[in-house]
Amino acid sequence: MAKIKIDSNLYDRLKKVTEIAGYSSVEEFVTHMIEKELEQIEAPDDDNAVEEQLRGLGYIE
Amino acid sequence: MGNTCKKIDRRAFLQKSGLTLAGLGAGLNAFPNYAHAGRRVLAKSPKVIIVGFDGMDPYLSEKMMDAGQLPTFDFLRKQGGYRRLGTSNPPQSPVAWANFINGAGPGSHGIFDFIHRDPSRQCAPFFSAAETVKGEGHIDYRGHQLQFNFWPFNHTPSQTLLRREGIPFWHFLDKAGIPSAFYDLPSNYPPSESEYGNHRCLSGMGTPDLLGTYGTYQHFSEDGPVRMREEPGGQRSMLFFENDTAKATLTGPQNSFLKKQVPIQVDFLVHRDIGSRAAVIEIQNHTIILKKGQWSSWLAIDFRMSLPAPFPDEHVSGICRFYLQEVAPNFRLYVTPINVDPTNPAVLVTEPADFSKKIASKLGLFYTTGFQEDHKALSNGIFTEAEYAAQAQMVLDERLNLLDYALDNYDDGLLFFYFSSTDLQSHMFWWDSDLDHPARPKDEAQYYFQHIKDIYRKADSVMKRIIQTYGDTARIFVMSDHGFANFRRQFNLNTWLRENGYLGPAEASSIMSDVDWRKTRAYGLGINGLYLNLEGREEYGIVRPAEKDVLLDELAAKLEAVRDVNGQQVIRRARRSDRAYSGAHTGLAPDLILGYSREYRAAWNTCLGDMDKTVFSDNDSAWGADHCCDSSEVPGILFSNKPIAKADPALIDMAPTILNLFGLDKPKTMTGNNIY
Repeated sequence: MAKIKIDSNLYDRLKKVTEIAGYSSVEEFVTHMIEKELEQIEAPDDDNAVEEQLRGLGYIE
Repeated sequence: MGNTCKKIDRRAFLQKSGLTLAGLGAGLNAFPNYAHAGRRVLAKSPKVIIVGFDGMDPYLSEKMMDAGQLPTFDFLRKQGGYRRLGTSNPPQSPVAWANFINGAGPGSHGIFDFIHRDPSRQCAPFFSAAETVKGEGHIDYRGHQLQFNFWPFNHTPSQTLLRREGIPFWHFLDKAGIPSAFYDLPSNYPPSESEYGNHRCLSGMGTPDLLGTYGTYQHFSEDGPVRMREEPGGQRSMLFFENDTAKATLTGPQNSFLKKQVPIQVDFLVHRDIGSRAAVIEIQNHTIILKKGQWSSWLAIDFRMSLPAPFPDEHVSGICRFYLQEVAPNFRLYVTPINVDPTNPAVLVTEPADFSKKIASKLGLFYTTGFQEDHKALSNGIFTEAEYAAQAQMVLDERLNLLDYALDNYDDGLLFFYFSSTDLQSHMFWWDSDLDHPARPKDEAQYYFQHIKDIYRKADSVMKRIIQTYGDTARIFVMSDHGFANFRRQFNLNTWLRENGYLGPAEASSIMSDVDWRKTRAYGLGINGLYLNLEGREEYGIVRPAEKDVLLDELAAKLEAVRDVNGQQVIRRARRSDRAYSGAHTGLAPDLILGYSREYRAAWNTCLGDMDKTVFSDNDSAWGADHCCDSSEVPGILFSNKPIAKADPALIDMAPTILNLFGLDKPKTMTGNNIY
């Protein structure tokens, strides 16, 4: 499994938020956040597909 | 693909059998009171017939009635049964028909434009009337993703949801045991369920083709692109003949079982005979011979969705027609969008599900997409005007056959029947002006405008027949959702916002790509909508809520003050939605609804957020007429075979009027009133 180094102040902030948000560990929280971000970045094709579909309406070119 | 439901049931899985793809005259007696729930009563219900001609315009109708060209409509008018019908705000068909369905305005149904946006993703656009929601859970297996709907998997498939909120008026009829049948009803895809079993519907505008689009034609020609190229509403491919035979590929729906989804493709062969100006097309088990200018009948095409062993492949059926445009010197072949097969629908296009099969058992195969006239083919130069008129006539002929079916199967209760011809042909052929048409010479423009008048005459003869048959026993209405106007000049709202300092930076070209949201207080999306970039609502909002009122009033005043180069007012009214709308579903409403003056409309590019170099330009499209103006500019029509008391009826008045005719009280959800 790959490891990533982060600033200790940032890690402290993560620990606090992890507790408040109810995650079982910092690892779980960080993994979830990264997955969400990746989904957004990897999703533009869907948005393009929707736009292209909308251009099929006669009211739009 | 639409509202299909891909799942494996437990027994099938255990038996290693198939994956279940669950997909889609004139006195009347007083009407008795049917205001009780349950199955239909034994006594016959009264009869109410509504015929909707989308976009039928009052100004043209009145001119033609005055000239003696619409005798049936004029007869109704002379009896006191005619009014101009107030349309929706904005006057776009999905909004307007939803007003009709709910008996209340956009705040009740939540549809404000063809296009909405998701503010949590800033301005990500989506189609307002239906949403495809991704499924959850699957198992990756040999390059496929499989869903199992039983424990412990409990996967949920993707599904398409109707986004129209509120209660449709037919629900109250259904509950009271009063039968209702709707043919080609807009703004009702997927068709809403009948809770009590007394309601039937064939969904219309908004129904996708099998590819999940609003209609994608496929065009094959010798001078086509080497690699298939997509364009709005279609795709083009090259045909390469060797010894007068060419291989081609028809594009079908995505194979949604694949991890990396690709369209299913069906190969076919084209054999040409230049001397006879004919061709033979071989596709699956069909062999069709076409001469130049001929259309094939509807063909059912099987699209195979591969699944990994041990599961057998799934199959989806679509229908299409081939049209041989030219054999030589440049072979050109047009294929209609792949429509959902009504005899074996992959998605629900009717309520109940088997209604489309019943219709097809009598009429054969027919167009099931919402937009059937292929205006994109004309706009993109695939069709000539004459070809478009011919294809649109085919649509009308099918619709008239469907009307025969509807009347043959109509006993009592409510019958609603919809015609699209007056709208989609008007968009392409209406030109009520001596000025130059955007896309054709003056004499041609007048020739094709005459074609629209012929459609109005046809509408008159259709109503003559219905009134002769049912005029003494039914209340009959003829209505439209809005009128029509030339679309001569286009206004790019986003360019105007940029030039007036509301959108930045100065070199921005699209809100979808290079706008700086930190410098943008307002943006345009959709055909009539302006949105503030509101803090706490838009993802990158900067306008503080305390600033909203002043900014909206400032924008509204400035926009209403805009003048074209000839001094003409461009935006008749810029209405604040928080004042124009009321109801539980105003969350997605634009902040301002721009009501354009006749002859003006939102620019093509601004509707999806792109800017032009200039704020104003001439419309240059074959789509030369429109109705997305201010609601006061394009009212619809309403005829009735009983004098109408209300001086200014509107779309929202139809539902309470209809319920009243069946002895039902107006529910609290409706804001319209009885027109009698």
